[in-house]
Amino acid sequence: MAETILEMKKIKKHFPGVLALNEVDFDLRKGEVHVLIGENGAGKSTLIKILSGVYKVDGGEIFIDGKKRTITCPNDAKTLGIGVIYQELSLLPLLTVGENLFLGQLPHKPHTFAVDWKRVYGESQQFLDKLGLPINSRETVKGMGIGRQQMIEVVKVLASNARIIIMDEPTSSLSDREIERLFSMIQMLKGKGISIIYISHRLNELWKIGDRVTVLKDGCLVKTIDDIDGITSDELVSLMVGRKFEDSFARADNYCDRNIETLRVENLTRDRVFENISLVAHKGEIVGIAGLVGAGRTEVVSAIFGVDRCDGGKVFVNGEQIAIKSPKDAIKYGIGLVPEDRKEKGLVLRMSVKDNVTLASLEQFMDKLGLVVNFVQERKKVQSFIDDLRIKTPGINQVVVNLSGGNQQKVAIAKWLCSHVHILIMDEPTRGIDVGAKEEVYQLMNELVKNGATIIMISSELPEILRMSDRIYVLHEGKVTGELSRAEATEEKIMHLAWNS
Amino acid sequence: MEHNGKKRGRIGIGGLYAYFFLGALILIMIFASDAFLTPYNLYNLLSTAAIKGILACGMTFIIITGGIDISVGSNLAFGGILVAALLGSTNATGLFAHLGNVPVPLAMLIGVLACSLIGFCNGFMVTKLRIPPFIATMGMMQITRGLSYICSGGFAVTFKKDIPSFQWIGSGKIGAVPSIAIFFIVIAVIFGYILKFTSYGRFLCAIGNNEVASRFSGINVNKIKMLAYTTLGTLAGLGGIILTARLNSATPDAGMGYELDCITAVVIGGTSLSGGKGTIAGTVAGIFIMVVLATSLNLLGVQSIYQYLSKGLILLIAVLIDSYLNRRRG
Amino acid sequence: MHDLKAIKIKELEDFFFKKIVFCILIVFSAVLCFIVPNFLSWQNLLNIAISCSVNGVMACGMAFVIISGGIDISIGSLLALGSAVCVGTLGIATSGRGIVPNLSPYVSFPWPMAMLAGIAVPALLGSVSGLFITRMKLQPFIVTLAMQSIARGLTYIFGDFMMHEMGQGTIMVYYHPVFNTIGNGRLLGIPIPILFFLGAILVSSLILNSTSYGRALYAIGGNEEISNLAGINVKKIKVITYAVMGGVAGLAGILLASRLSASTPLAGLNYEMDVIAAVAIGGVSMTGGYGKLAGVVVGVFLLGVITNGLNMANVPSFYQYVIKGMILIFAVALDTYYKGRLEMEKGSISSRRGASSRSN
Repeated sequence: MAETILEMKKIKKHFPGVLALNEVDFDLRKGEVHVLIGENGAGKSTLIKILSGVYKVDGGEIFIDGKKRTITCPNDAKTLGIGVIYQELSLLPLLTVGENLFLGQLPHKPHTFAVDWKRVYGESQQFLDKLGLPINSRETVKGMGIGRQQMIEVVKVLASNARIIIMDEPTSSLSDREIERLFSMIQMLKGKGISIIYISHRLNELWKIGDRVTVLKDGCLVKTIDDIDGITSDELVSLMVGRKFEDSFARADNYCDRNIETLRVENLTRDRVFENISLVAHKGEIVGIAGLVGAGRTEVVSAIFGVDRCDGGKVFVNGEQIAIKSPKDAIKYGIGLVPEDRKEKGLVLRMSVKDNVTLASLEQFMDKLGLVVNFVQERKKVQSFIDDLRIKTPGINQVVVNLSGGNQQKVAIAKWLCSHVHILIMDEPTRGIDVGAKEEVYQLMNELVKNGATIIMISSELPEILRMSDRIYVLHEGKVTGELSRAEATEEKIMHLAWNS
Repeated sequence: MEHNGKKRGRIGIGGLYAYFFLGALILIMIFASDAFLTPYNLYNLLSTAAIKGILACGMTFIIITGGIDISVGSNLAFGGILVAALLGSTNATGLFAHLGNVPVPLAMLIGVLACSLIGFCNGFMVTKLRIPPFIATMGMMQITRGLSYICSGGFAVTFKKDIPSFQWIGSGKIGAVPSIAIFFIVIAVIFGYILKFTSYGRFLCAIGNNEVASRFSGINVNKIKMLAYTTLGTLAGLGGIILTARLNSATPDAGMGYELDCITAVVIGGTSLSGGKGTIAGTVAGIFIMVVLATSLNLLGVQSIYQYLSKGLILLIAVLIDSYLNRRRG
Repeated sequence: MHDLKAIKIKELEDFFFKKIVFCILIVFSAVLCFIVPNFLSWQNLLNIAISCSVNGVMACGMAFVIISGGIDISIGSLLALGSAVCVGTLGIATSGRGIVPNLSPYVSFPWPMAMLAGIAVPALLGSVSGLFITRMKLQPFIVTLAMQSIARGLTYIFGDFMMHEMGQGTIMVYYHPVFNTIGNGRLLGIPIPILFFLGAILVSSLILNSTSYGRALYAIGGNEEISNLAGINVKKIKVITYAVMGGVAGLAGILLASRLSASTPLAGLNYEMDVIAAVAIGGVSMTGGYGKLAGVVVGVFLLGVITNGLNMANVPSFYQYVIKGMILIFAVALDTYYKGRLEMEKGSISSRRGASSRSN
């Protein structure tokens, strides 16, 4: 058995209100690919961010080559030979491949200020050739596909003498051919004695390149499996989701009126992002959209809401085909979107609660001339939302940035309630908010459908989606892989569809 | 409590400290110089502040959206030339030499509309062609300046005969108050009102704060921005008319450097150049700080050569205070 | 196979978009050759180059600033200050009212020192701008706008002080053999200002392309955060860049003062606009991270040729403004369109990328 190069013992990490990692053990052997899997939010990213020095560890020890080490900043990790390939690529597109590889440490010709380009390009070409990559080191990164950029990232990490490479979902946006190439590269790296921690959302990859697999769930270590050929994908899925249902988690009420179809989407397609998405939603129904991160869920609803263009397909609201070219159109037809990225897209953080709530529906507070905002009416309305939704704020003029996540989310929802949308799309509505506020959001959703609204909810949290949804669509890589009714849906079924396994 | 919160949210600290500063400046000057509080000086103060102040109101809107317009000075010159030529001028050169005797209201309307069109072009370039605002308006600055020279033949355009109704615009009085100060006040009030009380004003702030979230809320970002640039164009036309009426002639190099003075006043008034917040009240304070400072230095016998220095330092101090207060607020 | 064809068409398009300014310059020059008989004469070409040299030298510095993602609108004033400091410290000065030997007891530098002072003082102010921008996190536009006023003011004050307070608008006239040669002399038959311009092009293209400082400018303009993570000292490099810009403006001031044999406090007024325009026309991205010095040089020459050619063709100078403005807008609009299309081509992938990057 190969020697152990990295050992993490009883790693703990707290975030405000959450225990992100609870005494997780992890080890890595020389020349192996150790796959890390788990649901969204299981703690995979936290673990690797601790290893790469982005987060500080709250408890536990890290041994590298048997020696105890502390990693407090990205540079520490670099000097210890740990390289990370993040999902967001860190290449500068306008510079050449060679320059990107040497960024921040360009070699100089001896005794001059001049950059030794011969060495830069020579050495990087050597690196590229050694790895068998058909890439010219003098090319700029700009025109290259994501696949090639990923390869270059790998080379960049290798160029800094990394012995441990962490890959965070490297294949999530690669084509099949690119994936093949990446895998053969990984095989070669293994051959050179380099160890790889591989995070993936695709189960089938595990048997192709993995040597061992560790399953995380809710910040805890479930199991590390040494013999991966002896395990089936079913067993893995149940390890990942193996959660006991709490009874209180079910939504008993059903307000769904199957006769009234409020939203119908037919064959919605956007090239290379999603294709032939068809959905139906009814009055009083909560439709869940499940799937892994990157499956195209956000992109689909963005297209429905008119933020992104789409290349084909039809959208019907209340049986009428409509063309939505901008969010303004969508709002006109009664569709609202509470985006996942609350701070970037959902709220204008530096404006007040009042301004945010009425931002999409100011025209209803206009006076007769249609120019001036009727402040009295506006304040009343906003105050009524603050009361109804129990938004905790010192006043309606409080700047939103100062509110807690849960209250911010309520403001984002109130914005759409105020503009009387009857179809509300909610993208990860409870992400980043605490438990109490979550319950309140659920209650709010319940009340909305009770009053005849339609809710489309994207969520990565399976219990949430099981609890809230009347029907569930599951997406996998831009396609609908299944539709489950409330009665049929189980965590296992959803996960199978989501992993398409 | 609530009232307090409102003040902080809408007027902004920037506007407030600008008024403290202005107040202190005026107070000091009242004691330091007998000439300060004379009607003559106040009249001068108001008239000097008025034209740049009018432009600065429109500039505030644009800067709140996160943009900038440096073509406003040239735009003003072009508007002035056009109106003067339309009213019948003495000069025999230039493209507009024989435009001739158009009635005053029509001439003013044409002048203002032409400048609005230029402003619209700025907005079009910024939103649809996605040219950086600084570059787009810089190009426009050169074009309109060139047009002013071409249309006037490079000389001042003066009137053949007196046109009292037109001249009143620049040098008339209502009671003891100069007419152009009235224009300034009216425009400042209107713009302040729009910014504070209308949906348009709120959309401006929303766009400057977060363009993406604004789009997600159904705001037509391009339209709002284009309207802001067009509005500044309109104001530049208005400014051109007032200046022409005041000087009784239009010169092709009128308004040079006004754009930077306007931007300075807007920034001193607490509007952030990165957009999202700002007030007309602050801008008005900014304009008056600059004008009062300049007059005060004159009155105190400080050589005018020191005024550049003081202008620069005031601007620097203002943005430092602003960024310090912002950082402290979180 | 059809890939190859597509690539060829794309290359052609790329060429069109990239060299469009150069094409305009060629076409414009060709037309002028027909209209203006002497346009292609050696003397006229030299004249164009001389008239480009002051702006050209500054455009090189401005390219640095803009590539790093900043902007500097104080350079016109820094130019005036540089020329005033250099001329004022030379020790022999006369005013418009007649010869007033510089009786100032304060300074009388030998010429290399005076020139050094003329470069160092603006460079110092430039580094002050840089410090405000990096340390106080203020916007470059505002800081340099303030610096524009401050430097202009200092120029007036300095001139006033050196000329024994003879009022504003002070003009210093002087005669100094070495100093005057800089602006008007020739070396190997080539006017010295042109040599300075050539030198500036050479040195700055060397810096941009083959020093780690130059490459860091591109990296910072491309993405400040990634650069910082890669171990580049972003703040230091930015401060240096604004200091260099100041120094270069000072040098341009010395050239101008020497050529005109005068330093006026109004020198360089609005030069920043022409210089920024040249850089923007030259295809340097206004948001930073991209730009070639060759493009900047073409931009400078295009503006220079427009001025010179239209003058020679007896077109009133008024039209120059319009043409310059239109070319600026046209060139940048085309550039933006071209880059926007590149983004579109990659858009679908990157949006997916963006979505998947938000996990956990």
